Amino acid sequence: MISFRNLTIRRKLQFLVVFAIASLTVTLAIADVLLHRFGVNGPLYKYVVDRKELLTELLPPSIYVSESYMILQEMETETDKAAIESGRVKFRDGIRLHDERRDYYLKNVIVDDQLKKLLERDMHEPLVRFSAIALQEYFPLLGGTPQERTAASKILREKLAPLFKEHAKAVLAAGERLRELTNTAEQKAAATGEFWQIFLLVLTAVSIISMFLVGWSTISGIHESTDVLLKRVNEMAGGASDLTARIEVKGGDEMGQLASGINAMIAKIQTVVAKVREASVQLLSTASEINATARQQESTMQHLGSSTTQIAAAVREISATSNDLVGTMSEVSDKANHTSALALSGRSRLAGMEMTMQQLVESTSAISSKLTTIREKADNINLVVTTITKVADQTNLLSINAAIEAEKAGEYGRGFLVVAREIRRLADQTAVATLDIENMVRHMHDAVSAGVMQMDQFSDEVKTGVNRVAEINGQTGQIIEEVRGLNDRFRLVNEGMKNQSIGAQQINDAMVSVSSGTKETSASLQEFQKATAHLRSAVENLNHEIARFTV
Amino acid sequence: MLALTFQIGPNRLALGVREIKEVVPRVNLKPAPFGPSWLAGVFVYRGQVVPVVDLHKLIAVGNCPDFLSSRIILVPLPGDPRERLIGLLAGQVADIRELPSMGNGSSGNSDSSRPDLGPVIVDAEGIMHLAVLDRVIPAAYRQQLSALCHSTDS
Repeated sequence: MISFRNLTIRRKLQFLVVFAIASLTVTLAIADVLLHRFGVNGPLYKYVVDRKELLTELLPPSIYVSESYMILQEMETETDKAAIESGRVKFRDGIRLHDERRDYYLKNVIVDDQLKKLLERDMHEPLVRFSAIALQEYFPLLGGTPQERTAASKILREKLAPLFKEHAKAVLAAGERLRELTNTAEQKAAATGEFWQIFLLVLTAVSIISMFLVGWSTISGIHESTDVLLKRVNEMAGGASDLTARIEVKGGDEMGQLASGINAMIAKIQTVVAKVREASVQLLSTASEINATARQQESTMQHLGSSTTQIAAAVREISATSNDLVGTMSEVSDKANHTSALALSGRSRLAGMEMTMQQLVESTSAISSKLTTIREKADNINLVVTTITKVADQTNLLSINAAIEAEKAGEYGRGFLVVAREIRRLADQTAVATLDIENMVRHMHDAVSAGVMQMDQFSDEVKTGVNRVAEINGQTGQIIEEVRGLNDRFRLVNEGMKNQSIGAQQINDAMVSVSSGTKETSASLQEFQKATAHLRSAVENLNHEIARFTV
Repeated sequence: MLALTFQIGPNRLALGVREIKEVVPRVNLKPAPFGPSWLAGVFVYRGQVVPVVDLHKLIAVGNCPDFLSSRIILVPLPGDPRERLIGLLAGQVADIRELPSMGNGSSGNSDSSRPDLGPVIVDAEGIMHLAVLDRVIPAAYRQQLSALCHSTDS
């Protein structure tokens, strides 16, 4: 059994078209048959209309009041009151039914103006009078005296019968008119039905044909496109090398979109292949570069090995030099200690000198005080001299006044005048002598003052000397301190030197390990070079593979 | 003639001892308020108020030097009937000597309105004026001094 799923799209579509046409044909045929059957003048129509007509012919008409008229005629000879009453009720019901039906038809069915006029006026007006006369004049006379019955018969014949005839005549006219209208409508409906039947046939044929054409063209289009796509995809699957070829895209339907999708996919593959090709070329050159670099690294490693050996030798030298420096530093330290001792002895000597200077200052101040004493004495001498001077002055004044008085005494005072002159001479000599003493004392005073001044100056100089000695003492102390500090620093330097020596030894060890590391690195580099060669051959293979594609 | 020698600035003078009352040391003088500039001050001599003339100021040759030999020469006020005393402050008042008599000194100008040192004589030490009191102190000055004496008298 063939599964529906395994069928090609073409078969499926063909099957679909054929099935659609067949089903449409069957449907339309059924529709045609039904239309024919249920149409006006069709079999069903005829069946229904025949039965309706039979029914109308069997039942008394309501619009046509012939039954009511017949009741009136029956009642003409009736004497029984009950029968008359039931007749009257029947009559009235008949008239009422007539009114109801007439209203119904006028309202819902009749549209023709002529027919409407017949029903409203020609049929209705005589009937109104007829019913009024029948109910008011005719029925009260019934069942009474013979005269009354005669009068009733008379009314029936003379008044009611003409009215009924008028009504019946209008009914006939209306019937004629209705028949006419019905026939016309029937003919019209039949014509319309025939037209639609023919239209339906034509439409069916046209739709079947067009469906066939559209379906078939669709199938062939899809089939064609599918063939092209399939061919191209099969080519690609089989490893087609031309990536520049594209499928021709026809139209924007799903097949067209599929084609452009495949085209885009091929373009993507093309760019990818092109990039891969570029990359493989670059990769090849890179592999070559890596190879060359590895070779360079190897030579660099060899250089490094020799450099390492040289560094080791240099470090050994540094170590030896550090040891020498340690020796030199200890010598320097000894010298510094000696210097410190010298400075200490210098300091003690300076202290002695300072003491001597101090004694000198004390002696100077003693001399200064003695000189001051001498000056005071000289001042005392001066006071005495001043006293003598005053006495001399008084003597002089006395001699002058004595001379004046002696002169006034005249001849008696002559001898006294001589005495006064002598006194005055002595006073003058005294004054001269005191002047000499005064001069001498002044000279002495000056000399003592100069001595005091010089002593002061000397004292100042001695004090300055003492200060200087103190300064020198302080400086010597600083020197001692600094030399001591220097000793500590020398120790630090010594330790540093030892550390350096140890460091140099460590560097030497490190250099040995670097040397062995270098050898290992060299071996690794050779391995690396081999790996690079492998990479290169692999890249060349890739390149060869990629070259098959046209891009 | 016996004369007392003294100095006023650079000028050497001599005054006859007969005209002198007494020579006294330069005592502390009381300054005379509102007096002339050449008046050195006043002092009390034996119950009498004596005005003292500074001769240096009088002839405008500076101040009298502050020596022990600067003394006050007491003389009677010239032309005063009551012979009230005035003092003359001068320097180097320390010697009395014998001079040749010159009679009535009438040399130089006789302008009595200004002080005049008097006639000149020459001795071994140089020029010396022989002082005449009423020429050294002219009448106008004497009047002021007299007024001063009068005011102090009463």
